[in-house]
Amino acid sequence: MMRFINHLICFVGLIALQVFVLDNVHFMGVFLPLIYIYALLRLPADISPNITILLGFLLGLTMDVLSNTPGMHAFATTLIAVMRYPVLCLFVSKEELSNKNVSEKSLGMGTFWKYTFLLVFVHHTTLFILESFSFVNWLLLLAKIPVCSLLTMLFIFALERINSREDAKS
Amino acid sequence: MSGDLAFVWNIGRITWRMYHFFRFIAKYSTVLLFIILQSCALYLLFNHNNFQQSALFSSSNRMNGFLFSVEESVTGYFHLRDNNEALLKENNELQLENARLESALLQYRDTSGIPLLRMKESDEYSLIPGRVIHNNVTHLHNFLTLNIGKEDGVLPEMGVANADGIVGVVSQVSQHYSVVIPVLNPQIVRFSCKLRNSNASGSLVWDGVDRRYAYLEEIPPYVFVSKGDTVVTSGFSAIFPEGIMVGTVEKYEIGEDANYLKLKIKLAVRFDALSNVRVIRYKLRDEIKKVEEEASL
Repeated sequence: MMRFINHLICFVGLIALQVFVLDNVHFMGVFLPLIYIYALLRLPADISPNITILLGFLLGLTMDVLSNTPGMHAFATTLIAVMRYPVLCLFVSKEELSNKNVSEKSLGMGTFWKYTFLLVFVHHTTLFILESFSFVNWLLLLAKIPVCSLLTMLFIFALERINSREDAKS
Repeated sequence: MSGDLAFVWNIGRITWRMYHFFRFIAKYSTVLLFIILQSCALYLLFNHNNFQQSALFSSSNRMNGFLFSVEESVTGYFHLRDNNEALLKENNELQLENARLESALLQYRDTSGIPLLRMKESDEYSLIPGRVIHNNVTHLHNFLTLNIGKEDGVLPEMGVANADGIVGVVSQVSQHYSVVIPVLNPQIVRFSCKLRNSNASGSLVWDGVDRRYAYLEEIPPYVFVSKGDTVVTSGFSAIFPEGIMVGTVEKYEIGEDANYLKLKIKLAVRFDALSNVRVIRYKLRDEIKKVEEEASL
């Protein structure tokens, strides 16, 4: 139950952080971090895939409603929600995964960052391609995907530090 | 007797089939769910229309309006200084204009003897003041949320401007809030604008890169343009009346097929510091639309 509340607060908090703070931060005018997917990335590994997908879709839909985009975030987050478990299995064996939190501490540094990078990259690529459907500026698109991915990773890195420190305290 | 047997047999067969059907669903539930949800997302994406989007999925709905007005009540303080300066400037200009009008009125009285010259809002359009409660300028598809809605007389496809120049077009309206698509959105209906000196008109588009500049395309190549020329609205559409400030020419170049000029326009409005705006209600809008519709039939 505590775990459920913890994750719920994480979902709501990250969406609020994204919409009210980070959407107003613009690094060189066009680049911005998309931190809200961290809520999806750190869900426990033993959660059922159906629930993961539903949560991913709801997370994306909330972002869509709050930023007036039609289904773009929903598509991208649902995609990474499906890819999450297979990607985890790429790096960690299934026995090791059961009943484990997904964090830097429990998975090990290298594994966690490989996992995060892969999903962040897929999410950003999907989202930005959908975003520029009606309007193609390939150069901007090519610049946006890696730079925004890096920014997002940076923010996830910071949040992961805060999380692990709080775990150590309690 | 044989009828009963056939009946039981049929029930058994149907149950067996249902069992397999549900087993299939259970086995592939993840894949099915994924496909259904992605279809929903794509449905939203491809049925999206700026002017007819359902209010549920936009920031004009009540919940979002509430959230964004809370946000604005906090962040509104950050811009107080800039806003004050802008208001002072506007105030000064209005006072100057007032003085000018008063002197004109005096003159008028002296020479003709007609006692009254009534000042009123123009017959053609009226202004509805509003505040920006959510400003989104970092994305490709930007939008603004205003704290005025249907109750204040705002309708979709009305123009929005502030003291500096044009801001955008209203796209959706709820009872108390409305969403504006600013010039900074590549999906925008192209604004018809013209150069004030030469009256040559073209359409204003944004290239999605820098929020200080937009482009004026389709200007005929024989028009004489120089840096710093003023660009204003042309009044060709029912959205804006003629002569509202858009920006100044920053750079000019020949378009891709050399049949027109492409001008880089420095926008007069600072989109990252928007606060007080006015929605322009064009009183003759319905009439223009009706005539245009009749003409296209």
